[in-house]
Order: sequence, then C-alpha cells, then structure tokens
Amino acid sequence: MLSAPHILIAMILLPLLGSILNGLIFRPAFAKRAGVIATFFAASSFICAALLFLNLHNGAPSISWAMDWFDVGDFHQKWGLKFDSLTAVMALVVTGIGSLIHLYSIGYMSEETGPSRYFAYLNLFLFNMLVLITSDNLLGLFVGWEGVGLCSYLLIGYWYEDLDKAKAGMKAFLVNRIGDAGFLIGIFYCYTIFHTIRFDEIAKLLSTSSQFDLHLLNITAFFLFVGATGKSAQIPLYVWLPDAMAGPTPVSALIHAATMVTAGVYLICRMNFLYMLTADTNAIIAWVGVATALFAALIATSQKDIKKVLAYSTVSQLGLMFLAVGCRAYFAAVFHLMTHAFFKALLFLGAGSVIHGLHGEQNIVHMGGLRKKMPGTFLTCLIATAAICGIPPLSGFFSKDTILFSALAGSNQGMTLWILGLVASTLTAFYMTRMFVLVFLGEYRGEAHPHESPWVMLLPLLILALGSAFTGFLGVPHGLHIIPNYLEHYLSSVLIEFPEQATSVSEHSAMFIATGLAVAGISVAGFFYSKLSRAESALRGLRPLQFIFANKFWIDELYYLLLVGPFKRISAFLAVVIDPKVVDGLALFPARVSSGVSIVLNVLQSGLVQFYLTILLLGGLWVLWHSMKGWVI
Amino acid sequence: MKFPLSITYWSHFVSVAMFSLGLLGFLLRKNTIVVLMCIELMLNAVNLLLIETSMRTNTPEGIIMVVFVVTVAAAEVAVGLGIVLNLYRMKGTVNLDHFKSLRG
Amino acid sequence: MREGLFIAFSLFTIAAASGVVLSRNPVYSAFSLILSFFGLSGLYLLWGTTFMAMIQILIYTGAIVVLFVFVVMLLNLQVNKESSPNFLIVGISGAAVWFFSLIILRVLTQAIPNTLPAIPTDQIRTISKLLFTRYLWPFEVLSLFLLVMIIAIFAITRTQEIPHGGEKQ
Repeated sequence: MLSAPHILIAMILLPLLGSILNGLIFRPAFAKRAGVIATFFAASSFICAALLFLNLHNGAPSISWAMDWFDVGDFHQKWGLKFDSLTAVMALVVTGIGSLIHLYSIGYMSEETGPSRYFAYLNLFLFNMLVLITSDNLLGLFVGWEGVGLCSYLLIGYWYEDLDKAKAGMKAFLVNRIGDAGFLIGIFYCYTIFHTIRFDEIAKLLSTSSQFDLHLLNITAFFLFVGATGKSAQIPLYVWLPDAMAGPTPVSALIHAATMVTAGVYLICRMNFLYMLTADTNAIIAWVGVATALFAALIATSQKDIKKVLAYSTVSQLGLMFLAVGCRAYFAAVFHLMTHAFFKALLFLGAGSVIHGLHGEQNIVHMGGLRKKMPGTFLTCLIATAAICGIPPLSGFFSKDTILFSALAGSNQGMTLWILGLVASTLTAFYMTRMFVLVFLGEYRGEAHPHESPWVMLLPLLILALGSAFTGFLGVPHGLHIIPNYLEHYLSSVLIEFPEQATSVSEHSAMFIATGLAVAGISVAGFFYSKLSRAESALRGLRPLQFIFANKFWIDELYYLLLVGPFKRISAFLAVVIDPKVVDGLALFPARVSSGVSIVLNVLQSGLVQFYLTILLLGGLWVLWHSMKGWVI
Repeated sequence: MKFPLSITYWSHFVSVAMFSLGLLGFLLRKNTIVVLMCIELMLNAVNLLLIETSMRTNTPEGIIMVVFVVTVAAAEVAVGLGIVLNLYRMKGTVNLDHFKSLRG
Repeated sequence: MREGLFIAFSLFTIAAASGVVLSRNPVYSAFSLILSFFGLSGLYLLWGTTFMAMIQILIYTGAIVVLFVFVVMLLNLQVNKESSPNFLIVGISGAAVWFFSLIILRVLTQAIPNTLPAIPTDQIRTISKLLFTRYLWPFEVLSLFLLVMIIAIFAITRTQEIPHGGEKQ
C-alpha cells in the first residue's frame, strides 16, 4: 500500500522521469509523442498532488519525510520534504496549471522539429518547482530555486539559433543570479542566527524565545527578499522578465505567470514567522512592491507587443503580491498568487493562441476583429481580462480587494499605499482593456488569415477560464459575510492570520471604490481604443509620456550604461591584457627561466669529445688539488 | 748492477713529459687517429713509471702490471681503430669537430 | 756513462713524443711514435729489464703502430685537413702541465724507498712464475678479454652483403 510520503516522492519524481525520457530517448521523429509523454507525467504528478491534498484535507497532519543528505563539520543537512496546506495549494496550482500548459504545448509546438527538448525542459521545470515547494529547509528550497532558474534559461533560449533569444535567456539567468547572491547571504545570516535552516525549527525558535536581535532579523529578511526580488521580478531586478518573452508562449505562461515568478512570494510566505517580526524590512517590501506595480503598469500602457503587455502586467501583479506581504497579509498574497496563476496563464495561452492563429504576428496594431475569427479564444480571454481588472464576481476581484484592503489596514502608511495600489489597479484595468479591444474588437487590420486553434489548445483555455471565474469564491473576505473564507482557514495552519485593525475606510467602501475605478478605467480604454484613430488623436497631448512609457523608462539602457557596459569592458581588459600577459606570464615565468638557463648551459653540451674530456680533466685536477691540500707540498 | 739515483729523476722527467705531451695532444688535436696515438703515448709514460718503480724497489709486480697494460693497450687500439673506420665510413672524415650529433 | 746514455735516450723520447703531437701529417705522427717507442725501449734496457724492452718493440712497434699506419694508409688521410695546433699554446700549457705533474709525482713517490738493489738475472723466470701462480686469474681474464676484443672488432667493422647488391654497415 502506498503511504503518503511515497506519493509525495512520486509527485516530485514523476516529472523528472518524464524529462529524462524525453531528453534521452526520443528522436525527432517522435515529435508528437514527446508532448503526450510529457503531459502524461505532468498530469500524473497532478493526480498525486490531488491525492495528497485529499489526504491532508481528511484530517491527516502534514506529511514529512527526510533523507540524509550531507554532513560538513557540525552542519548535518537532511533532504527533508514537507507537505502542509501551503504546499498543497502551491502543488495543486503548479501541477494543475502545469499539466494544462503541457497539453496546450502539444498544439502550440506542433510545427516544431524536435520538440522533445522543449518537453524535457518543461518537465524538468515542473520537477524543480516541486522540489522548491516541498522542501522543509532553505537549502532544499534553494536547490529548487536554482533549478527553476536553470530551466527558465533553457526554455527562454529554446530557439537558441536566434542570438537575441539566446541573450534573453542569459539575461534572465544572470539577473536571477544577482538575486540568488542575496538569497544565499540571507541563508547564511539565517544559519548564523538560528543555527538551523529548517522552517519548522526556525518557527519554533522564533515563537518560544525572544532574545534575537531585531536588527539582525531585519537584515536576514532583507536579503531573502533580495533573492525574491530576482526571482519574482521586482524593482530593480525585473528587467529579465519582459525579455523572457522571447521564449515560446506556453513557457511564458507557465514560468513567468503562474509558477516560477511566484517562488519569491512563496519564500516569504513560507518564512512568514520571520517576516511578522521585521517591521523595517516589511516597509521596504511593501514600498518596493507598490512602486513596481505602478511602474510596470505605466510601461504596459504603451507597449505594442502583446506578450510584452502581459509581461509587464505580470510584474505589476507581482508587485501587488509583495505589497500584501509587506503589510503582513500572507494569505492575501497567496490568494492572489492562485487567482493570478489562473487568469494570467489564461491570458498568455490566449495570446499564444492568437499568435499561433496569425502565424507569428505579435504586434497588436496589426490585430483586431478576432472576435469573429477566433471565438473560443475571444470568450476565454474576455473572462481573463475581466478577472484581472477586478470585475466581481470573478476571482481577480476578491483577491485584489483583499490585498488592497490589507494594505490600507496593515501598515502606518496604509493610506498612501492603498491609494497607490488603487492607481496601479486602475491602470491595470486600462491597459488590459486597451489590449483586449485592440486585439479582439473592431476590424482586422492585419494581412494574415487568422484561424481558430485546435482543441488541444482550446481545452486548457476553457479549464483556466473556469478557474479564473470561480476560484475567487474560495477566498471571499470575512468582511462581506457571504460565505466563509475557506482558503484562509485552510492556510491558517501555516500562515499567521492577518491582524484585524480599524481603518478609516471600511472594507465595503474600499471594495466599491476599487471596483468603480476599475470600471472607469475599462470605459476610458474601451472608448478611446475602439477606434484606433480616436485614440491617437485624443492622446496626442500625452505623446511625450507615452514615449517614455513605451521605452520602458530606458531602464535597460541605464543598466547597460552603468553596469553591463563597464563590466564587459573590464572583462575584455582582463581577457585581453591581464590573462595573456600577467597570468600566463607568471605561469610561464619558471618555464622561461629554466628555458633560458638551459640555453646557457647548453654550451656545455657541445657534442665534442675533447671538450668533455677537458672539462673532465679540469674537474679531476680540482679534486686532486683539494685532496692534497692537507699535505705538505 | 746498482742504479744511480739520478736516473730515477730522469725517468720521472720523461714520464711526466710524455704524459703531458700526450694529454695535450689528446685534447688539442683534431685528427682522431692522432688522438689515439696520443693515448698510446700516455700509456707508455705510465709504463715507464711503473717499470722504474719496480726496478728501483726490486718488486716484480710493476713489470707484471706493465704486461697487462701493454696487452690491454693493444686490444684497445684495435677496437678504437675499428670504430674510427666506421666513423670514416659514416662521415667521410675523421675530424673530431664533425662528430657533434650528441650536441644539445 | 749510463747516465749519459740515459739522458740521451730521454731527450730522444721526448723529442719523438713532441713529433707525435705536433706534426700535421698523420704518417709523420705514426713514425714519430715508432721513434718514441724505440727510445722507451732503450730506457727500459738501461733500467735492466731486457724482457720489457723486447715486449715494447715486439708489441708496440711491431703490432700497434703497424695497425695505425695501416689505417692511416687505408683512409688515405690528407695532410692539413685540420688547422695545425698553435705551438705556443701547446708549448706553454705543456710546460705548465709537466711542471705541476712532476711536482705531484715527486710528492706522491716520496714514500717509496730508494733501495737500489741489484738486477735479478732470471727476470723472465720470476715474472712467468708469478703470472701463472699469483696472477693467474688476471692472466686468464686477459686472454678472454683479448678474445672478446677480437669478436668486438669483427662485429664493429664488418660489412654485410644485401641480396640485391650493395653493402650495409
């Protein structure tokens, strides 16, 4: 009989098995089968996750398992797995949406030659993500963290023959690495303070004793947040995510909307017992989050590439999640993570469907009127867009309002944070509607022949649409007194509850204001963009602003000027000057010395017998002289 | 017959002179065969010394040693000249300056 | 009288030895060698070893120098194939070497007594008896040695005939 820990291990290892199969065995001839195999393994992992969830739901305690890993001196590290309610939520989201995206990829990559590499990487990603969320200590989490970073690199640069795409992959990996450095410092601080890096042990230490230096705790929390910044694309390390759109669209859906970028949020929620105590770092997190949300939303209003709009939208929504975390509303962050996974994945897959139907066109200026040509995609994307704008009763409404209200209630600068969050949400509504209108409504402005996508691609869209619509009912806030907040209750065993606080604006009012602003944003965008010419004429005054937004505030160029350029120049200098001359010179110096000495000594080896004998004679005389020195001559 | 002491000195004189001449020729001459001859000179110088000592002290060992030296010298010259012949066949010359293949 | 002869033979030998070292023509060197051997033989006679004197002439001049001359003629060595040695250098360094060697020799032979005994008349008998009793072992080894040398010479200098004609060394 399979016990729960075995199912847990199976859940994690099944995608790895699929990845190995696809990576090692399949020849390009088995193109379509590679996708089926990969989807099979992903789906079986989802089934395991579901089984474990049911097991947990029926009252069993969280599942743990440990295996000896390595010992270094006093540091004994076990490879530990833990499956509690937070892991359950994450696992279901990751494997469920992951399986749907695998299914979708079969259709999307049908014109590729040799997609077995793609599916191998996709499965590998799933494996690493599962490692990340099931680990019971920071180090195991970091292993999964690095693994998803690797898979992200491999998948973004999937079409590596195109140099720009390969560079995008490298950029993702390198920027992530910077965050990882911060993460590692955070782990080191953690170990120094607590002498353990297991979550339950740290939680116990923090709850029982209070002699920890608050300043040190803040520093630890800050460095872990730096790691989260890299992985979850916050300021200043978000620059890789828009470029990551160079990869196939399902990859963007899975990795950059639903799963990998949420790893940072997951990390902080996992360590919520630490972050409850670190007020200073929390302020930083909240402000960085809301600033990112605003910043990315502004950029998204002027983007023309459909995937770039969605990329910046992701950055913006992640910013909202960090806003929640910074205000100690961990449940709100996880809730929004879940709902965002659904509608963002849906949006990306819909965009993929559009791109696939238009045979590669990604510029929304050349789209339009796809409502009639691609009805399935149109309907599902309509639901997703409404969800992200926060229209009740779709899921986005509930999760976003939870966040905004906790921002208002949860910190000293709550009012400011709340207002900024509202602005970001309104902008979200604006630019998402803009995109929707330009893509699906009006008349078709392009030159290709759009067609609807096959069922393998539409089915996931449908399922995700259902999720986007109804998932919100799992986490209805208390304040509405409609149905209990199932999700919050479920996660209460792991996440510390958000403290109730009095606020100047009641929860109901906040909800109304937010929804009203969202509707306003939708209307404005709908009005202006329904006819493209109307938009251009009306917004002429805002042209300079639009120019700034469209150019992403030139952040990439700034980074290149300040960081990348000098680094490259230093590297070139080192490679061309220092390495050959100094290092090689130093290494070759003994060789050159001995070479020179041997050239000098070569004179003694003239090859002439008489020369040798002369030397011999002289040597003999010298010996004779010394042996006779004692005698009287 | 008694020997005057002075011929001891003269023998030493000759012996050492022959030896040094042989040594110098051995180191300075370029013709291989002449070098071999100088070796003979040196050997003979030693022979003279041995005989002188042996006769002066009335011991036969010196003379016996000389017998051996002469034998070995003869054999050695024969082999040496055989080698010289081979060298001549290889290079066409017996000039020692041309045999430098072990150089370096 | 004896001393006078001794001096004469000594100078003669030294002159012949110089001839060996200093002449340009290898044939002249060979002949000078013969002369020096004759001189040496005379010296041996003056010391009273008739046996050694004969051995010297028989073996050295009779065999070894013959071999030298034979090879010189065979190779048809030309005169002046080499630059002649600088006489001044040879002379001075020769003098130096001789001087210091003589001193060393004097020092080294100080301990040997000068007893000046009489000449034994049956020299050959004494030597032969010793050769076959006390020094039998080196004697036999020496004969074996000569055999090995003969084989060695044969091996070194033979030429092999290759079936398609021509010779291989």
